[in-house]
Amino acid sequence: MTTVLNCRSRRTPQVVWWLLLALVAATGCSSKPLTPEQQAQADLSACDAQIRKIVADPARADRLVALTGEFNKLGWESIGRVNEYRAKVAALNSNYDATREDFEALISKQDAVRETLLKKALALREQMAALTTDAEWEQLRSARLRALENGLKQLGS
Amino acid sequence: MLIALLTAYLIMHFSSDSSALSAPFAQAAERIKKNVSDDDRQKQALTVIDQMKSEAQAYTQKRDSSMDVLARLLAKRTTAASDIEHASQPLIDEDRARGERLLDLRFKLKSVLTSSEWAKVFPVGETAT
Repeated sequence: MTTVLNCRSRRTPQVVWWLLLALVAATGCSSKPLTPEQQAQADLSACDAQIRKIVADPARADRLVALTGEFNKLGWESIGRVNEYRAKVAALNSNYDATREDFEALISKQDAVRETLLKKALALREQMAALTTDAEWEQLRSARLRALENGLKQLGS
Repeated sequence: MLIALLTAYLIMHFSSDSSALSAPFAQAAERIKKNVSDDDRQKQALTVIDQMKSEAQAYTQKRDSSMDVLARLLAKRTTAASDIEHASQPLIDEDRARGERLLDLRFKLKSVLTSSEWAKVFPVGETAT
């Protein structure tokens, strides 16, 4: 009896493993692709977990996670501002009678927006750098926010 | 820290202004061929579009090599924000200069097309990219 029980208990994890595998496969086949918002949130969660794995000190890790969240927010805000600007330029371009001064006024405004956002991004980077060691910084190279990266790359191309 | 992201962020910032002034070249050329019946003016307009396209290509190549320098700076933890800003300045200047050149070409194109042709080539409600 004991032998049977032992045998069963040894086999149980294997059964569970196969059931899980089947479940994962089934979920994988039927699951819908994530929306950009869901992907961005998933990226952020994965990035946070990676930061906590690399930076052992919880206080510094908390701060880095918060700064990454701020950077993520800033990135999406920047994408929104650029899209807004592009829509305004396109509208102006469609206007046959638009003057060079009209364009230059719009460009100057966007220049100021760009400078503000850039300063915020560099300040965040500086704080992140101050919170890490060289070794941690190097390891954190692999931390990615892919949805945001792709969004930014598309705007820059 | 998140080097790829910071690089992408900076690329976006250093080219976002002038990119907005780039017409969707293939589409614009197609519409010019369709809507500008005068052969001479059509040819002139298509030449301007080609110039815009060349401008965009030259800028992309130039920007990519400058971005490599910037990416190396970003990769180093101890690089000061002022050093990054300093290294970024030529890219910002180039983006502004490119914007000016594209504006020149936009007004050159306008001088070739009539108001009704322009409305068909650049209809209201379409973004540049």
